Amino acid sequence: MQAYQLTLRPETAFGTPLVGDTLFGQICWGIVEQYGEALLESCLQGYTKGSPFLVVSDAFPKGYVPLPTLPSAYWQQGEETDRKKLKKRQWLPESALGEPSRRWQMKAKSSNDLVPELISRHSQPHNSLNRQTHTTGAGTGFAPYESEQIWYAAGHEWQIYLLLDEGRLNAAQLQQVLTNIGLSGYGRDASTGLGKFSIIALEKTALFEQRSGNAVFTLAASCPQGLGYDAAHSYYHTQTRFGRHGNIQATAGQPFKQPVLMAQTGAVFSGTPSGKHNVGQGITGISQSQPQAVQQGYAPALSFDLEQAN
Amino acid sequence: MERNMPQAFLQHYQLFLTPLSPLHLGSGEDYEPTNYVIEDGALYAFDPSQAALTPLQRNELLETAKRGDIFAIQRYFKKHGSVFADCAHNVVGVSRALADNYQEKLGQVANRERSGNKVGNNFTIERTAINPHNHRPYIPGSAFKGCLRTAVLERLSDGNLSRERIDQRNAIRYESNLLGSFASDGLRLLKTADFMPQGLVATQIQYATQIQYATNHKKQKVVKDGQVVRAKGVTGRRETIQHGQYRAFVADCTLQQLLLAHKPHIKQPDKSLPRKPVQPKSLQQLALDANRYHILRFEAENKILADQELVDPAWLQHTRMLLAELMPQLNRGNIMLVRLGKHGGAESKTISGLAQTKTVWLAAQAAGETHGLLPFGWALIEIDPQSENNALQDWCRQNSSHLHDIQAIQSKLAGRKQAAAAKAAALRAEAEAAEQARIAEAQAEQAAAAQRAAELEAMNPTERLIADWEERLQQFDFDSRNDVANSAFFNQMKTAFEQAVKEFDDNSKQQIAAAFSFKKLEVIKRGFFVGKREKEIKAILRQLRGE
Repeated sequence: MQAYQLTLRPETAFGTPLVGDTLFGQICWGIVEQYGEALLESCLQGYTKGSPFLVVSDAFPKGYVPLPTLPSAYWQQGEETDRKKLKKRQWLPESALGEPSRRWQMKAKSSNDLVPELISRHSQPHNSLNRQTHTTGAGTGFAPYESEQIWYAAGHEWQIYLLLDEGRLNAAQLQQVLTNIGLSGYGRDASTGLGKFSIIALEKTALFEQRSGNAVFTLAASCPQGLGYDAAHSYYHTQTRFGRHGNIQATAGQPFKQPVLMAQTGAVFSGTPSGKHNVGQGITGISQSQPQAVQQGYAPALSFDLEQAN
Repeated sequence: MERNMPQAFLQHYQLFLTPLSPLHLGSGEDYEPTNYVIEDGALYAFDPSQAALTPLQRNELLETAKRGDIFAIQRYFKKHGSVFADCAHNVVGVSRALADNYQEKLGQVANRERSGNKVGNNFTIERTAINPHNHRPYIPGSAFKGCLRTAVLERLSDGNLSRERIDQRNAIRYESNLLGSFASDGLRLLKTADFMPQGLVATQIQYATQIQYATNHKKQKVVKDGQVVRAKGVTGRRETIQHGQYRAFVADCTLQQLLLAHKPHIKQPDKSLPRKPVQPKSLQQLALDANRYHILRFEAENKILADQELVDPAWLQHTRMLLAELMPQLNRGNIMLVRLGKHGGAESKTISGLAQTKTVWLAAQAAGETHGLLPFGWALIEIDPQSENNALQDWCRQNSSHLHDIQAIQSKLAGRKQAAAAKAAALRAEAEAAEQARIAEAQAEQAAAAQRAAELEAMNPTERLIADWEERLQQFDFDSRNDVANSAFFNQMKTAFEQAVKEFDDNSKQQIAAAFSFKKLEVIKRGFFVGKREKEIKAILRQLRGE
């Protein structure tokens, strides 16, 4: 698979954070809309059997990857000893990947170190008007509501890593689909203005090939269940994804998918076969209204040397 | 279909918005006197935590805040206005009347209630929605979409009003019968972006917003006893995006076509997909709906306002001429006239024949003004313009004289910020120097103390006692009113001397007695060794001398 690096600039506020599995779902719908369902079907062949056509990472500030989730005892201590400050250091500069992994926390930056208020959340008040009575709300009387918006720092660029099997979907097609998503909006409330972004570049990256080691850390949420990773030397936080259908399926019948337990971005897995740039598996059987629906349980993964004490 | 052939399912448009009259789209946030000051005809909005306060100013703020008197806090910010203005993140033009009102009334009690409560003007100002990162105003896409939705609904209703009694429930049914429900709503396929302000450098456009009074007027002329009765409506302060800024905002918009050729798995397509008639074919079609809806309303409302001599006649004339000139484009759907935000009036948010309001809100420079006012919310949106719009540019030139002041203030703020940054740096340097001096002084004191300790260490016990008490007597700050401290000090001295009487040899005792003869003690601490203390110390000295 060829690794691509997508650089984008958020143009408006977002309703849904830019994460890999949601973006993958929207790309799938984008392929159907742009090129027809037949192409998506051929792309998805073997998806749940360890052969994904596309693996999408979360969005990170340009030039950074997430700091792997490792116990604090693992890190070599630097000048900073305040644990709360250390916990906020979540962005690892790509340039620091060449150093011994124990030193990474020292090199990592917090969101505020990069730009003040890199990501901030604000409430946007709304009300909907009744066109007959010129009053708001569906209940009795005044019923305005607020929705939360995610604002990314103005002018700051973000990047997403994509592992693409070019035999099934070529880069130009992928770029076209991503452009469409940027124009029509990503995630919640795209129809009222949220989630627009512009693409600055989609280019090949050698970041994944350059690296080797006895462990990997992931760049998106993943499903590592039953894949034989070394439990004693794997570290991650879990989260439950309550997925939903997108596009026309979102309003046709049941919009909700089954919940999926995933390992959060930055998870560390040992005992992976070397030379593989992704971990996890494709998940299916999560929807009753669309049985063939899949969920990205794969995540792009960077190899590194996990120093094991014993 | 060829497998990899792109399908034309997405139409993309670029939209430019030019405000024709002041716009106010609230964000739910207010400017309050603790985060703004008004100086030289401009409102400076700031984050108080960013201000470079001197230690004196900081203490004053803490003291004022501790008192909890809201008027005192307001006065504090007004008093130190320029310090806070220097760190402003945003500057907004202010009408002269409002500036005067602020200068006169801020921090003053307007009314004392019988219960003793003091009531004053809280001077809050409703703010337009802003991008929290760069503090620039934007126009939420949801507002634009809501405006189009009303226009589409008007076309679909085609004048056939529901004859049922209008209430909440059947109103929703009426709307969903025409446009579709949540799932089958035709406008689901329209995806608008928020309108974002264009960069300053690229297009020479200012994002000036001016605060104006929103005044409230009776629409129809009311004559009573041969006199025209003027409405006495309430007024409010609003931050409004100013008119006359050519293509001030830009947005993307996409229109999706549903692709059902592949027969997606949908259980009840009738209920969950928009019907063909309500699927917008193009944005131009929606623009025609918007124009049909809004041009009528523009004319109707402004006729009433002109008859009442409320609206600014020059503005109305220019705007009517502009609309006449742009009529071919308006009729083709390349430009749309819209009404956005607060105070647009119920008639502009409702299908025809349902709303009849009696008052109108207008933008004014002063609370009592009744002439030369502007209606809220009118804007022109151009769809994918291929070239400059000369008519609109001319209109902006004619109606932008009010922007010059704001532009001047904005450029001044840039200079002011620079000066403030230099001042803050100087303050920081001063604080650092003071800190350095303090550290140096502490070090010197420490060294002196160490030297003194070493000296004391080198002496024999008698010399040490003499040196120690000479020093302590010098340092002791005698205050005849502080009896507790005086007694404590005298007792310490007495104990030390009594111990010397017991422990030291005769020679040493003589030395101590000579060093602290009563005459000397009287000189060192005048007024301290009197009465009982005089007797006691003399007794001890006698013992030391061996008498």
